[in-house]
Amino acid sequence: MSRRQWIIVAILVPLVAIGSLLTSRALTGDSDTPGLQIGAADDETDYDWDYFIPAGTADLINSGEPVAIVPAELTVVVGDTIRIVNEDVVDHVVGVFYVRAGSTLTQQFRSAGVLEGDCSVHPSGAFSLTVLEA
Amino acid sequence: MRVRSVRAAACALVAALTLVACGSGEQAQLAGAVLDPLPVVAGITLPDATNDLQPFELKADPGGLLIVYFGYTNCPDFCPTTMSDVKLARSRLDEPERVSVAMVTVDPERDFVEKPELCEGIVLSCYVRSFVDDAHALGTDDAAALQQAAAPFGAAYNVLKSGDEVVVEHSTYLYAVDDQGRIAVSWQFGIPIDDLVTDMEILLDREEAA
Repeated sequence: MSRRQWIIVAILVPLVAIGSLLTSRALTGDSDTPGLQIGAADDETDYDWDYFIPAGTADLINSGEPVAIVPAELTVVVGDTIRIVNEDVVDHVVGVFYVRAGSTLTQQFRSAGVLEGDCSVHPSGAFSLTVLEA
Repeated sequence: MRVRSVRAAACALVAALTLVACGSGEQAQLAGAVLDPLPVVAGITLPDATNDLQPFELKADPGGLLIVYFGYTNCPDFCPTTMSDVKLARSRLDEPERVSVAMVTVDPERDFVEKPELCEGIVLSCYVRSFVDDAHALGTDDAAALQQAAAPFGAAYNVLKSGDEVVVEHSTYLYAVDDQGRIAVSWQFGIPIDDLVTDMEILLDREEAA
C-alpha cells in the first residue's frame, strides 16, 4: 500500500468510527429475525431517537408476525429529541405517544421523569420511557 | 444485517465528513408532542354547559389558544391535577386572556346533568369553573358525537358499570388548539408547569407572528 493510500485510510477510519457512534443507536436490529425490527425513519436523522412504523405494520401484527419497532424500555436525557414516523394506515400508540396514521410525531424532552403506556408496536404491549437529567 | 451495516457506515461517513450535529426540528422546541401534519379539529362542536348548551367549536379565538382536556368530574387524580396545572400555568402567562380552557366530559351521564344538591346548573360547569373561572364545560349524551369529537385528538375513554360502581378509564393528554382549529401540541400528564407555560408562550408568539 502506498503512502498516499495509508493517509486516506488513516483519515477515513476514525471518521467512520465517529460517524458510527453518532448514528448506530437508531439502527440497531437483526434482519435475521422475521417481522419488523427497530429502525430509523431515515439514515440522516437530526433526532436523537428516531423510529419508523412502515405501511403494513398493523397487517403484520394481525397476522401474528412479531413487531418490535421500538424497544420496550428507552432511557433518554433531558434535551434529547424523538421522532416517530407512522406511515401505516392505522393510528399507533407508543407509550404516551399517540401517532396518527400518516403523521410524524416529534418531541423534545425538557424535564426528567418516567412516561409509561401501552404500545401497539412492541410484543410486550408496553413502552416505558425514562427521561434522565442531562 | 449487512444492508443495515452498509447503510450505517455510509451514513456515518457522511455524518462525520459534514460534521452534522445532532439537533432538532423547529417544532421540537416545544416540550409537548407535536404531530405533522397538525390534526384538524376545526368544525367539531359540542354543547357548552356554561353557555346554555350552545354549540362550542373546538377552535381558539383569533390569536389565541384553546386548551382542551377530556376527563370527568369524579376523577380522583388525573383530572383535578391537570385542571389545577392549567389554572396555574395560565395565571403565569403574560396575556392569560388569550388562552381559553375547555373540559370535555367522557362521563356525561354523571357530569352533564343538573344536580341541584351539588351545583347550580350542570355539574361539569361548576367543576371546571372551580379551577378556571371562564372555562367551557363541554359534553353530550350522544355517544357517537362524543366519539367523533374525541377521535381526532386520539383521546380514548371507557365507562364501565358494574352495579352501582362506575369505573372510568381515559387518556390523560392535555391539548392546545390554535386559532385555525389545529392541535398545535399535546402534553402528557405530569408535564411540569414551567414547561406548560413556556410552550403556551411559544405558541402564542407564533400566532402573533403568523
